[in-house]
Formats: sequence, structure tokens, C-alpha cells
Amino acid sequence: MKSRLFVGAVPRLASVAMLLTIWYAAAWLPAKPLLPPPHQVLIYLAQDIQKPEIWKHLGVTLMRIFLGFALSMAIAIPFGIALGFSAFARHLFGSWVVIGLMIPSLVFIILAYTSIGLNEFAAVVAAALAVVWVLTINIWESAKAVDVKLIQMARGFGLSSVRIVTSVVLPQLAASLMASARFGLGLVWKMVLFVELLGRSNGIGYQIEYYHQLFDLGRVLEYTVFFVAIMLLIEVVVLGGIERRLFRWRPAARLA
Amino acid sequence: MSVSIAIRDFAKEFQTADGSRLRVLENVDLQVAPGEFVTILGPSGCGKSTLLNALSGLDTSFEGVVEIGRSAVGAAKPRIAYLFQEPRLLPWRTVRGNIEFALDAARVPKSEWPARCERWLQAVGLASFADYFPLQLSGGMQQRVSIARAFSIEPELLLMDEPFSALDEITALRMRQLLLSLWEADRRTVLFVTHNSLESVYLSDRIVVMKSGPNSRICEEIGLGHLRRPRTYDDPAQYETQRAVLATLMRYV
Repeated sequence: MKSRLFVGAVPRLASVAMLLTIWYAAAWLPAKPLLPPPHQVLIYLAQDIQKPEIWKHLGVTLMRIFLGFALSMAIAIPFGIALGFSAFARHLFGSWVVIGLMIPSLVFIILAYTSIGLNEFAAVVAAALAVVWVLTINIWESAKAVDVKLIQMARGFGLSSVRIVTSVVLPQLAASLMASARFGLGLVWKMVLFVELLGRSNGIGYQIEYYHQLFDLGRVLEYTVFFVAIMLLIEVVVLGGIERRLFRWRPAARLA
Repeated sequence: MSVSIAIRDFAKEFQTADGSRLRVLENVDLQVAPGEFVTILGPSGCGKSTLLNALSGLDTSFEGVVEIGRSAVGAAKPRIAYLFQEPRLLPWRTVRGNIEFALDAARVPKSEWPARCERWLQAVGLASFADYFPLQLSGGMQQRVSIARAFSIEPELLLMDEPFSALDEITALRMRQLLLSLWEADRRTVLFVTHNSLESVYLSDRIVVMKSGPNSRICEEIGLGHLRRPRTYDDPAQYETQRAVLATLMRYV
């Protein structure tokens, strides 16, 4: 175990060192520095996290992410499953999903703001509309991949149709639904920053745009680093924790 | 308790991709006595699995009569266990959970679950693996779990669809021994499908040979009453019989 830790730790430390070297090199270019140095960004961050403002912006952004994510999943799960299992649903909605996927996210955001108004509800709808299509396709694909052989096995043992859905089909979908949820969250949080930049006056996305207007790259990076760290925490601790609990049976998940 | 099987005038057609109909099986007649071990031997694609699917109730769209009977008239639906070429275990349930799944499906009272799990996992030599997940076990161990699962519901009829053909030779030899030792304890009716003549001779009381499809049917029946049980792999009479069976099979490929 010790040697594995060593093998794992050395390249990881090297990767951090390399990243910092590149960043410092970009910051200390003699002619024209490309970026503020990392320690400058960290100093900003250390100062700001002691003030309430950055946390307020984080709060509104997280709320929009959460609502946008919940709304898009609430639409994508039933539609994705229906598309996977019913030819009727495929004929009815299949092309909608493909077309929705082709429409640029920017169009959905502009549409939501102009038709609903510049408010919170529009922001959440815009974020959900931007990602719901790719999420639906994701869930559709996983519904297609349900193992028919296990269903046959269960029927062979005389299990009722209702019980087959609850004990054979849904557990198989759970794995891919979880994967879709992680994927969806990753999409929604990027989209929410965009939504904030285009039509809200608070949130991380708004702050990044604000400092961009002032050409304050240090603050832009500060907010970016802060936000990425928080989202990593949510992704790894919350979603990763749920996934490890749910999928103890997968050898790969146990090693992770 | 075991059941008899009666198949009369069985035929099955499939719709092909271009819309025409393909008749895979026709004029199939087969009687199996209670407690008999019958093997259906035939080349791949002759419709052996089709017959098992009809018996298990997985497929209901066939022509002819399929009866699984007890002596008592009006008795409850017979308990059937189905063993497939792959273990078909639920990967998110432990070994014990998979056996409980079958017990639950077969409506075995919950109070009997622990004793049955214990007994059948012991019988296949996996008692200490009850809390493992299937993906942590080797292919052979997984197939042993599926055998334990099949026997745990104490079926009156065991349908086996090439259950050992995906295993390496040594594992397959051991599994056949295991199957026979379990079967000989209380002689359930078994219908076993294979393309392996050695396996068919080693295991069964009677072999029915099917010709290659389409329009496949049973061409020949070979009784193996002259081979003593318990069977061993080094019985010369068995080798003689296997040569004859193989020669018969080759005529219908």
C-alpha cells in the first residue's frame, strides 16, 4: 500500500508543481505579463472569503444551479425513459430532442429573458432549457441499454411484471441516472454563469463579468478559483459519496 | 416432487427482418418422465433454446401443445428454474441477495430464506462468499451461484440452456460433476440443452438429437440406461457411447 501511495503521490505533486510553474511563467513574462501571479489571486481570495459579499454571490448562484438542475432532471428523466421504452414516444418526441440539441444555448437564454422577463424564474428556465436536451438524450441512451437478459431471467423465475420494473429495471437505470445527474450538474453550473452574465445583477457569473469590465484579471481568476473549488467539493464529496454508497457492487467504484 | 413434460406437434415461426416468416421448429414431439434427465443435443441455431423458452413460459406464441404436468389435477403452477449460458446474476445484489431474489420470485416464505441460502451455497462450495458481489467473483464461481439459485427454489423442473459452454474445460468438468451430485440427491426433472456430445452422454438418462435448422425437429432418441450412475469421466462404456452419439449428431448437421 505504501509504495502505491508513493507512486500515486509523486506524479500528483509534480502535476501541481508544473501547473504553478506555467502560471508563474505567464505572470512573470518580461515584456507583457499574461496573468496575475497565483499568490496574488490567493491573497484576494483570502481577503474576500472573510467578507459576506462573495458568499452572497455564491449563495444565489448555487440556488440557481440547484433549481435549474432540478427542473431539467425532472423533465429529462420521464422523457428519456419514455423515449427508451416506447416507439410511440420516439415518433412523437424524438425529433424535438434532436432539434433542441442543435439550438445554441444563447438562443434559449435570450428567449427566456425576453419572453418571461429579466427575473429569477427566467434565469432558472433558461439554464434548464439549455441543458435539458442533452440530458434527455443521455437518459434515453441508458434506458436503451437495460439488460434484457436479466429481465428474462426474472420472468423465468416467475417474478411479476411490476416487481421486474422495481427490482430489475430501475436498479439498472439508477447507475446511468446517477451518471447523467453528475453530467447534468456539470453542464448546468457552466450555463448558470452564462445566464447571470447576460441578465442578472448578482451571482458569480455577474461578478466575473463585472471585473472583466474593469480589466481586473486578478479578481476574475479569484472568483473562478473560488467557484471551481466549491463545485469540486460538491461534485466529489456529495455526488461522489452518493455514488459510492449506491454502487458498492461495482468493483471500479470501490477502488475509487 | 418432479413433473412430467409433454410436447406435441410443436412448431415455431419467427418474423425475419425482410418480413418473411422463418419456420425454425416443426413437428416436435417429446415426452419426459418425472425425475428424468433429458438432453436435447443439436448444432447451434437448431432452435433448442426456443423450446426451453416455450416450456418456461417466456415465449407463448408457438403452435402445438406444451404441458408440464403433475399427477394431481388442478395443482398449482409448477416451480421452474432456468439456468442460462451466462450466470445472469443481478450485479447490484450480493450472492445471498441473488438467491433471495429467486426465493422471493418463487414465493418461498421469508422464514425459510436463511436456511435455504446457507444450504445451497454450501452445496456449491460458496458458503463463505455469501456477502460478495457477483463482479468480485470469477466466471465459474458466478455460474455456481446461479446453480445454487436454481436449486434453492427446489424446482420441479430445471431448464438448462448450455449452462457450461462459456466456461473453461476444467471448470466445466467440475460443474457437471457438481450438477449431477446435486441432481442425484432428489432427482428433479431436467431438460438440458447442449451442442456438446460428451456432456450429453455424461449427464443424461436420454438424449434427443435435433437436426440443424431451419425446419428443425427431433430426429433421433438415444437411451443411456446402460450407463451406470453415479457417472465417472473414465468409464470406457461412456466413451463408446459418446462416439456413437457424435456419429449420430454428425448425420444431422
